[in-house]
Amino acid sequence: MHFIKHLLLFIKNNFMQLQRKWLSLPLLFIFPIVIVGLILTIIISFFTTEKNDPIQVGLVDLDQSNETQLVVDLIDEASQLGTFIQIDKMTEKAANDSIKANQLSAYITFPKKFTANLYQGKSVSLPIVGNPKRPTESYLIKELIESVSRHIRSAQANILTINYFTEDMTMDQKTRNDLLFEQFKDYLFYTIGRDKIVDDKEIRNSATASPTHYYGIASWFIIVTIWLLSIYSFLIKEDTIRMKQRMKLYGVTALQQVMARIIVTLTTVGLFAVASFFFLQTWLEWDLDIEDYSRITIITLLYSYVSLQSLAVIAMLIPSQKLQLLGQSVLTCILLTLSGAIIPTLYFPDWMQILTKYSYANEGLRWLQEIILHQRLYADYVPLILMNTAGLFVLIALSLWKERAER
Amino acid sequence: MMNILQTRLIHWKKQWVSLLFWLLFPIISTLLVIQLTNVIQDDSKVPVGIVLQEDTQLATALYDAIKETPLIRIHDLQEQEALTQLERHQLDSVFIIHDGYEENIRKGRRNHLITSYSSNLSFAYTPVKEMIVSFVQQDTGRSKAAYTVRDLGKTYGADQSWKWENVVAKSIDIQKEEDLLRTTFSFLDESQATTEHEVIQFKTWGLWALFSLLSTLLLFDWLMKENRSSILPRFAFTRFSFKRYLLKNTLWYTVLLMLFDVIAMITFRIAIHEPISLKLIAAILSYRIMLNAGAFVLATCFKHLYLYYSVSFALVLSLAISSGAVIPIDGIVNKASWLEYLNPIYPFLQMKVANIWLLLFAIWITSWYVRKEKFDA
Repeated sequence: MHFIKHLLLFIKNNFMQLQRKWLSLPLLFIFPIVIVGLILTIIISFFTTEKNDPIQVGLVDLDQSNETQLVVDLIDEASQLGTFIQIDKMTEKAANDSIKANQLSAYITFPKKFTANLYQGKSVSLPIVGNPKRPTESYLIKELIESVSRHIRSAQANILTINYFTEDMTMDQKTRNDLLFEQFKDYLFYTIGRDKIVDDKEIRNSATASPTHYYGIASWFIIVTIWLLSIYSFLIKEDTIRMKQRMKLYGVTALQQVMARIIVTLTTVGLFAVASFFFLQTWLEWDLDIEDYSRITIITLLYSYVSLQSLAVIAMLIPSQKLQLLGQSVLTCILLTLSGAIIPTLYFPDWMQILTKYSYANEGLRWLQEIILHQRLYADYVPLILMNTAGLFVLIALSLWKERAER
Repeated sequence: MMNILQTRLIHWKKQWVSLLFWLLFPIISTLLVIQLTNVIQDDSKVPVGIVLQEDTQLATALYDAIKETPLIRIHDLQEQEALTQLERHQLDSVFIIHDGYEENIRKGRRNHLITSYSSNLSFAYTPVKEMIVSFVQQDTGRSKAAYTVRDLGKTYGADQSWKWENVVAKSIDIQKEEDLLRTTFSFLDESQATTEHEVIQFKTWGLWALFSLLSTLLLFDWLMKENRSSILPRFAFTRFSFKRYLLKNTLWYTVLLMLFDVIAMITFRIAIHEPISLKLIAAILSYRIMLNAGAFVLATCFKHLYLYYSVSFALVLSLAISSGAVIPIDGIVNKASWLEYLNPIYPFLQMKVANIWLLLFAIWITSWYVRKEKFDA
């Protein structure tokens, strides 16, 4: 009875604390949204720049042979590397100047005697010079040229093979050179047409499983997690030693205070979460019924409760406030990574996928996705309930131990 | 000046564990994060379903070649099962090597040898497809060479009899023996060519800048701890004013932090071969002064310790995202160049010495110092 009474008292106290600082509440509400919004803006702007104004790439031909001129003209006329890259031929000096003026992302050079060395099977290198002000685009160009050069490598081996076998045949030097040039052109177009090998097909299982929806839920999940952390730490007060002693005399335990804090945080974050979820739902047009809502609510509550418990456990284990915050932030970062909200878990290494099975964040986000994206009519609450129970026992044990130790 | 150092040393002696932890924190965390991302990236694999419909030599060779690439984890499946798994997003993409693969290649045909399935959540589909195509293209290209040799042999009269296997074997030999075409990559004004293959490559100094921002902010909590109403009146009876006391102590903190900046430079040089240059030293020096001035300004604005800590963490998080140290922001900065002035870390990441924030903080501190004091004697 005493426990409930004290609990209610602290809940009331915490709410009053929130009320007194109600001005900071909107700030706490907005902060994670701004953070996630910032990340999304940066990523989206990065991808849209490529479409609207293409990456400018220079092509410098120092060789000036028939073959390189053919390649340069071909690329110059119709950019074969996709619509988001614009390739122009230029002199080396112009290319250097353009990079310095930040008008060019990178340039590729055909070195002197490029073709001659290619035909003779000597090792040739294709220098790519990047713009230090645009490192990401430069690396993109490098990756692209590397994949092209892989194709050229096998084409070159074939041309050298043909050259080897024609040595037995009766033909003069000029015919042979013309022949090689023919083969070079042939293989160039053969390489360009390589997409014919694969018959592309795309599978769409449901309209909602697009990256927008995936990252819609993931963003909401991240935002809720940051709310939990920020409001929970907002409620922590610096109690003086005298205050602590006085409270102990009244029979107040640390567990009661922690529980009160958890309940107040859950209520506040719950309000925020409901509001933001309905906003997201109307925006992305998810079709959900009452049962779905109840499943989503239960999953979110279970997840929030267990993550608040882990925050409380860290606070109990670490006395220094600075280290507490550091520990809680690191834990949140790790959990968000393991949940798959940033990178889908299927790309993780094996050992990390095993770790995700023990993470409540992964469990929570996975079921949210199953319900909302894949229209599952079922959710397995058992793992989350087990994790909650385990968390509760750890919390109780720790608070008992702490009170013993402090006595 | 020495008196201040002596009193500071007494403080430091009492809290040396915590002090040392936060001083070493940027160095250790940077190394830890870099090691961890490297390990994760080395082990990361794209799950790809392969359906092998025939058991010929070329088809199995293709399968083995795909299997041996470090990027891909192969799931050997039947078509129906593979497509179901793809639908449930357990696979990134599915490639079906059709029945008649070898026969078609031997006949010089290459259209639709492989069917691929991807979903709208297949993030790694394009590079994986590009790689598999390059393997198939090798086989079809060799077959094409074989037919060219046969046709030439008919026109110009070869001595030996033509055999498909001979030409293909020769082409494989040539490609193996000779290191034919390579690409080199370098940035303009940089002599050395980089050979990094990681997709996500954190910049060492970028990470260090963020972690030392956090540790510097948290170390400057002494400003609040010593700003107690019980101590303040006593300054009226000393040789220093409270403000001078704070500034002089900041100076000693700066000396200490700079010492650990040097340790960071040496550690990174030894542990991960990060080069030291005069440019870097100048940039670090300017960044350190900016950082301490900034932490000083922020700390004088707060009264409650816990709130200050929380704001520090929030600030570091926002700056981490917008500085370009974690996510590349050159797309945005190239569009709107004024944005680079918003972030105090950005100039350091560009290895620039001039920082507009340093000037702002300096003006702030000067005006704060000149303002009338409560407890002047």
